[in-house]
Amino acid sequence: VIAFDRPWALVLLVVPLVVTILALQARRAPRASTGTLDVWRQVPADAARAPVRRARPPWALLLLVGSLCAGCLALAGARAPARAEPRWTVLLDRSPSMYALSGGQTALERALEALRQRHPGPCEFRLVSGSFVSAPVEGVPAAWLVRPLGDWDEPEWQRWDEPGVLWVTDMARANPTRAGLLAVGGDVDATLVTAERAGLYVDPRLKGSLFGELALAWCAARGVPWTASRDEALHSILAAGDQPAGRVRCEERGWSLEGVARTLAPRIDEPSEDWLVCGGQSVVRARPGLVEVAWEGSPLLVGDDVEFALAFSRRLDRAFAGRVDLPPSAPSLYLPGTPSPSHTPERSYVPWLATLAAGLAFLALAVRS
Amino acid sequence: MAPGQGVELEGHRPYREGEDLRDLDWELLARLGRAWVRVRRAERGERLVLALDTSASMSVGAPSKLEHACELTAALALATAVGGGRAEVVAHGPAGRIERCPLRTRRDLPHLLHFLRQRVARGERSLRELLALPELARATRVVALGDLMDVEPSDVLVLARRGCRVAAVAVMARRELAPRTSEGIEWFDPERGDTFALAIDPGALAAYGHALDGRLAAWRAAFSRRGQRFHVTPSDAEFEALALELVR
Repeated sequence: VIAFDRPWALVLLVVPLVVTILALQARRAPRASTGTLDVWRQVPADAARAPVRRARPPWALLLLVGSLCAGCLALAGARAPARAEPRWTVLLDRSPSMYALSGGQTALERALEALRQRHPGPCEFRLVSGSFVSAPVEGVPAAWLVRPLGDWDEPEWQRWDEPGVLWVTDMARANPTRAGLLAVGGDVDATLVTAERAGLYVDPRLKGSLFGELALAWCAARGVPWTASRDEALHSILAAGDQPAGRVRCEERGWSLEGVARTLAPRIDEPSEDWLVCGGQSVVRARPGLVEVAWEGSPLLVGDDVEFALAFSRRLDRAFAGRVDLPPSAPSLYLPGTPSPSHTPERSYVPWLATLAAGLAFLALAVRS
Repeated sequence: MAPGQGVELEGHRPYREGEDLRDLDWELLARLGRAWVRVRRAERGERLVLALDTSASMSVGAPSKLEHACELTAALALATAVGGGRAEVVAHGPAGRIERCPLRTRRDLPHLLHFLRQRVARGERSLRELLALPELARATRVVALGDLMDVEPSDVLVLARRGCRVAAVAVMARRELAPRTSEGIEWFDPERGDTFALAIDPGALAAYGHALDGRLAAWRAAFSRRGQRFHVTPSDAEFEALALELVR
């Protein structure tokens, strides 16, 4: 907890100890042996039974000893060493939506459960609202799990975009560049689903690409089996399009995609929904039972990849609505490596101790006088 | 010669209050109109027993009460031996047992001094225990030396009878006889380990002096009634004068 630059200076703590002993000795009534103790006991109480020791605490002595101790610690160079163990500072969004029930749990509870399951490492938790963050605690108090009263402000996430910080929210309105993000989601409408199970086919050409991997991750998260045969699948994700149409870039809230897209033939026979449009050109399109991806290879994702994953996941949820029993959207955790130990930098106590020593010495003089 | 009868007339000196009226020279009183007492010298056959208190409270004072008592003891014993008598010192030893040291001639003096040097003021060794020793009943003279705080006059005077004179010497430290004013002091009884803390102001000093004077006056009166000697001496006083006084 405390380290010292000059530990040998701690020997000086003997000084206040000696001062204390000497002062207490001086305060004691002198002791004298006598053979006439019985005679002294006959001295009437009203003549001289005043207590020898003063009842008043030795404030000046206590202050002086405190001053000397603080001075010794300052001379020894007391400091709080950098925390050797990396530790995440988990900022919990206390927006009302974090307390909305989904699947019998609030989003906050699901986030904390996901955090426990992932074991990102030692954490300290803070509530965040606007520019305010609460004092850190080692564990989440039960009171935090209840929807708080009072106003709530959108957290100023960018203030906390630092290494070792983990945002926990259902809707991050900013992209973390150095902080981590645990996104909970929470827009699942459970009334749309049925008990029917379905399989998903992913075009082998998409394997390894951004959309292909996300689709497989979605299957795993939603419990949807995927199949290698398109005929068996109730839903398919295919690489589609003819000729490369050139380099395109599209952007949504918090993320952007850039890459080479192919041209999708217009469909007039069957209504379709454009999931992603870049420069007026649809690059991901869906219709019942089929999602067409027109990217050539894997586009470059810039920005909030979690938000992108969630956005794609929500679209798959909608596409499968009525076909599968969708659980609440699973939290997505993005951790940029391990928190840096420099998150809790070394702090020197010397200025504080020196000030304390001077203040106590001044007070001791004042009390003495 | 029977015990208690071996005293030889040496001269006369003025009578002092409290002295044994048996020593009063009635002829001189009638002739001169002033009271004189006979001064006797120890004669061959006198048997003196010196009971020396070595309880822990005798360590008080500078020099200690025990040192002063030892000096008096040595002087009285030597004077008795020189006068042809026989002295014996009884005291508790370092181990707490009662030890004796006779002095028949002056050649025994080194042995007596060695015996006295070995005395240590320690524990609750009772002077009353020494006064109950059988050899004191055979003595012609008994001198009890100590602070006399743990005995009463009757404990000593019980030895006074025809042919045996007793004397008690209360050796006290200066701070016991005349303590000084102090803001506060914690008195410590080295014998029992008791402490007693109090602020000493003139009122307390007066009360203490009154109590101590009362106790010493009771001793003095009790000894005076029986015609025996009682002396109080500070431990830092010269011992020779009192020794001479006791020898007479």
